[in-house]
Amino acid sequence: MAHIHLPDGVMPLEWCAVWFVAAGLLVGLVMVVAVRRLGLKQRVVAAFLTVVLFVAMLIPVPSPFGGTHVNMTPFAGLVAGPATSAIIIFMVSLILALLGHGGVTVLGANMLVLYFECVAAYLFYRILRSRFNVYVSAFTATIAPLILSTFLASGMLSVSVAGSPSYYLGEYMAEGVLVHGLFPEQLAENPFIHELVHGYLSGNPLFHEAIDKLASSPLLPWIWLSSAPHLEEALFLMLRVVEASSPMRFFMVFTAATLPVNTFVAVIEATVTGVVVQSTVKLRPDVVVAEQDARRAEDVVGN
Amino acid sequence: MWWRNKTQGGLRTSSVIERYLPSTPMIEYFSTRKSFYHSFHTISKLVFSLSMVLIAVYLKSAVLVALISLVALLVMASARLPLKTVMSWSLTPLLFAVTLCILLPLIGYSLLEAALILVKAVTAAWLMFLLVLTTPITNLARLASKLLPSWLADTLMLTSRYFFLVFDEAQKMVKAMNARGSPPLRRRVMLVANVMASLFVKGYERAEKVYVAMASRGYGGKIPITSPERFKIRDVFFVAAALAFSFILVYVEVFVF
Repeated sequence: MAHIHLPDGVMPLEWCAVWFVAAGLLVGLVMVVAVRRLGLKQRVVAAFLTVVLFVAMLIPVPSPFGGTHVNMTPFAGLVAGPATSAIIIFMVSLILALLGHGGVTVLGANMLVLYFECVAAYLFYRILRSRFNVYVSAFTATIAPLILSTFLASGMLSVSVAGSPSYYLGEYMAEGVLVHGLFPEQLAENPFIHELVHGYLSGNPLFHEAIDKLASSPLLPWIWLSSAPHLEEALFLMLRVVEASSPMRFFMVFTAATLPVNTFVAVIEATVTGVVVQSTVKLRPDVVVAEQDARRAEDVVGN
Repeated sequence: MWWRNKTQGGLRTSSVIERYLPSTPMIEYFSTRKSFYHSFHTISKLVFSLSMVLIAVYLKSAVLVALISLVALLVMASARLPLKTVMSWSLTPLLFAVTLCILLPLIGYSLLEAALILVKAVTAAWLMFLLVLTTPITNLARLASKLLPSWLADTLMLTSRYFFLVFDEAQKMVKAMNARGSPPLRRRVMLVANVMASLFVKGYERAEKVYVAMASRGYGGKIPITSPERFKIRDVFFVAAALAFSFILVYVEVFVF
């Protein structure tokens, strides 16, 4: 898999709802527009295309890791175009979620990532095709969206997971202050805490921001904090959590960890997609929408 | 697998697909079995699965999430589903979740919280398997036709129906390719790509033929789906029990833990 397919449980529900609404607006709107343009034949073909892509995803592709599978979303964007691929992505995501291969609550987030790959592949192909041959255009139009989608998925995850410190703030503080019994002396030895103490005493605005975040946390009532025997330690720990959970930090860590493997698999997928598109254009040039649109654009320019 | 001989129409399931997710013949076989859970209405089972998934994702207590996992396992066992096979299918969502969870301790999550996310991912997958393996595809399609626009529901129905046929074709092509020996890696990648291209063109041409066949039989944009299912009084109790269980779990999380 050259992209990140999120399972249930990795995001807080409020962020699942955000991505669900975003995907509903984007993919839903495109689908409604597409249906007005598509005839009955195209809809039947879209259903089959979904099946074919779904099956192609399951065919094992040899790799030095012992075998992987391609996700074919860039290919869907190339053969179906941005409009029809919205329908395909919706169906593939829904069926995969029902079969436990991708989450139900993260359906919106997964659809956004997959649809991005389709649309980006189509656009890259349209740009490249006038200068390069079919294989090079398809190869680049596959590898670039897959690498970019790693950044997109990392960004969405970072905002959703790391952007919700309230998600684990209570447990973290309870563990640090109450279970491990951290005391002011121990905390003061930590250079980071020492810096925070300095910031606290000098009225650092980060401190106030952290208090606001804690106050909105459903896990740790404000009353408990205000009456806690180790109030300052609790606040320092809280600041540490807020700092450590910054979305940018998570983004860097997650992207650095997933990008090398994803890039490697994307190269294999791009090789396969390049050959598939090249063969398809030879056999049935009329079924590759991106190629048709590129040729039409060239004709227009030529005329 | 033992259910292969019992599938309808002499269709053989594929070992490749069954390693990752349930195949169409398996869904058809298990969804038509008899059990107390099977007898519930599709809406009841959908409400149960979705409410449990939502609650499992919402909860932060490991005990309560484990309780939902246990309930899912017990219901699957009572519905006579193949637990061992379901466990092997769970490896896919588990793998995706592991990719993320190994990084969470770096941003302040404890190991317990990272492990909890793994349990949530697997439990949600079990609840979806429970829905799909105990509900005939036609019933799900009928429900989809009520919730989604007719053209989308039709497309979903066609997708589910023709999945196995296309897969069978792909399987034959892969077998034929494997029968020609084991060439070097680069050559094998090219062979797979050619198989996919051929599969795509064949699938596209079949889609065109199916459209002609459907149009000649009067298809005008809506496939009528009928089902003898009735929403009975026990469904009302089941849905009420599922929702009550969800509320109790939230209450315990908020006010007890």
